[in-house]
Amino acid sequence: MRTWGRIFVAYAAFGAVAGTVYWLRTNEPAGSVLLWAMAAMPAIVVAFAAVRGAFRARLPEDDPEAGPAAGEEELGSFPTASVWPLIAVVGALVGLAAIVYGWILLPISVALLGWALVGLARESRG
Amino acid sequence: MSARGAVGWLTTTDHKRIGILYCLTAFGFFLVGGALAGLIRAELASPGQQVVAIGTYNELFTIHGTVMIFLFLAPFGAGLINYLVPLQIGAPDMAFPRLNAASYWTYASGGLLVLLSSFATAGTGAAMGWYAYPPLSGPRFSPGVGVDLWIGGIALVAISSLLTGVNVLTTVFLMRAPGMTMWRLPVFTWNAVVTVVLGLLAFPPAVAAFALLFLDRRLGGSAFDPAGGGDPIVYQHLFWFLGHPEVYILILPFFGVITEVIPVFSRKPLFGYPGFVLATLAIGALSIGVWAHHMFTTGAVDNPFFSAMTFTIAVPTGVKFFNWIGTMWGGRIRWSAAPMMFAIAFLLNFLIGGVTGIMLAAPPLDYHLNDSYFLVSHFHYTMMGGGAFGVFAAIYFWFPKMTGRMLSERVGRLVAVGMFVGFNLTFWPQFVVGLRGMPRRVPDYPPGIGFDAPNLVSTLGVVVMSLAVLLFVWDWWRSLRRGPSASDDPWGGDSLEWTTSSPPPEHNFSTLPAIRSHRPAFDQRHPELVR
Repeated sequence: MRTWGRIFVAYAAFGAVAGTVYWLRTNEPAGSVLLWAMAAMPAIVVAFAAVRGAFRARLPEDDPEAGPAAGEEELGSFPTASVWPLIAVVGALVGLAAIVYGWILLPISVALLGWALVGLARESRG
Repeated sequence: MSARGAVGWLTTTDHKRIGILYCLTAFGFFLVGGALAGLIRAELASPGQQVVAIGTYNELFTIHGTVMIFLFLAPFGAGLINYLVPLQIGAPDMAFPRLNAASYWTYASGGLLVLLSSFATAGTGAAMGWYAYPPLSGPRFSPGVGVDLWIGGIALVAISSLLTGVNVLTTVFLMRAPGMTMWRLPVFTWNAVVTVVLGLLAFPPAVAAFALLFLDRRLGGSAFDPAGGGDPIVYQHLFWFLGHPEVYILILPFFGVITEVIPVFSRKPLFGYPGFVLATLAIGALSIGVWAHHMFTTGAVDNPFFSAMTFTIAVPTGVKFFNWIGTMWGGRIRWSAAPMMFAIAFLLNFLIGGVTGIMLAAPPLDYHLNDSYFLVSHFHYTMMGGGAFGVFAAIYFWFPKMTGRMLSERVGRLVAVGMFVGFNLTFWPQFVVGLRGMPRRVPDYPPGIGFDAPNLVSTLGVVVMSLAVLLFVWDWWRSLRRGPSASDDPWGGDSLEWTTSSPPPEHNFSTLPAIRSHRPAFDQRHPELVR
């Protein structure tokens, strides 16, 4: 866990320094904000992981001596089929078409998205 | 157990099937984009208008660029990432399988909208170039629904990329097999990590830019309209903040591909694994800070800052060349293996693309060459000469793992030679006409000023390349049905996917080997060498 945390901190530091140097040289707001946002995004993730104590955990994948038996605990279930992602995306596609071609398509989009949402929720509860 | 037949593919959440769907769809878009390029080259083969009208020509280069960048190279990389990353880290699937399926369908839907934006819009197709700069993409110069559909399509592709990014990072950070520390990740997976981090950082501003453009077009906004207090240069900032990292989003997975291929076919471990990984991470950071080198000629950006950043990014890229050459140096290289031939072609082409990129990083030269065919050629040497050759290296390398069958080695060699010769015939003359002053995005040019012969050669190159691609498609189709069976590890591979069956079972592994280096498959074959 610590390795990716360090990588994200390095990216955040690079964005902060580059953004500041760019701002001091140019006073150009768009690029400066973009670079500072590049600093903020990984910083938020690292801060969240740190608050949750993720960097204190010692996982089998971080142990260079761990053997295959160390990872035998349950990872969770992995479904091999679900129709709901496809229906959700068709709903989103119809929604976009509604914006371009006419709002009459919007109820179809909302219905499909709602149906997919309910289906996904029920499926994930098993 | 997953469903069989078409329903099985439509409802699958298995990362391997989704990866294959991504690759097949992206390759289909490659054929569409290639056909559009063929029409462009047919028009430019000789002076005069002979094949398409000017407006149609504008639509052709717009959709060609959009398809090749957003719908072919990046999604093909996403397909490989989907297929390979869980296998390479010893995971049973991606962290969020349903989200993974949604990512694929979002991409496919976005691709459909992009094609509709040109082919189904009755004369109002997207014809503003793949950057979609306002005011050209605004309501005044691009009325009708073509640009709206294009924006919707690209937004969906961007959302797909964000969903994939979250999924890949969660999978790599939290689902590695015991002993698979971050510093033992296969190089392809490292490149996948940096690719998706770049996507997560760079796509949101572009989606914001497209949303603002849409508001300007449909709801009377003025974010990019100076008459209403807006600024079209802000669009360029937002677009290129994606646009340049996008170049690395496209190429990094294929850096990973050839870095898997070269050690296997040189029969040596990768030279300088830590240096390679650090160079990849450095490219990830620096690529975010170079966007405005595409805007040197606007006169509205800090040229020295972006020039310096662009020169700097050549350093980690150069480190990678040392890694590749150092790996081959002194190795027993299998020169005639198709994946290796494509990898070597990648190195040669990408080197030319990289060196000309350094030339364009100097603002005085860029002012002269910007918007000329020199730029077109540079870009194609990196993206096609690098990226597309990486696609073919990956197909020839992992086809046996994905399907359990071998492609023809002999046909593979022919395809590699045909593509390399055709590619260089197509794009080297474009450096020449670019230096002589031919602007890009023009459907015609005057005769007798040094443009005729290079353009004709360039078009003949496309013919050679097309024949090679068609030969590949025929071999792929034939091998899929009647190709010889592949063993679990036909090449003597290094990473974990070569320790499972070809094709792998549902949830990937029945047993995992102990992981003691970034080459677990090699370690399993040679336990006496494990330290």
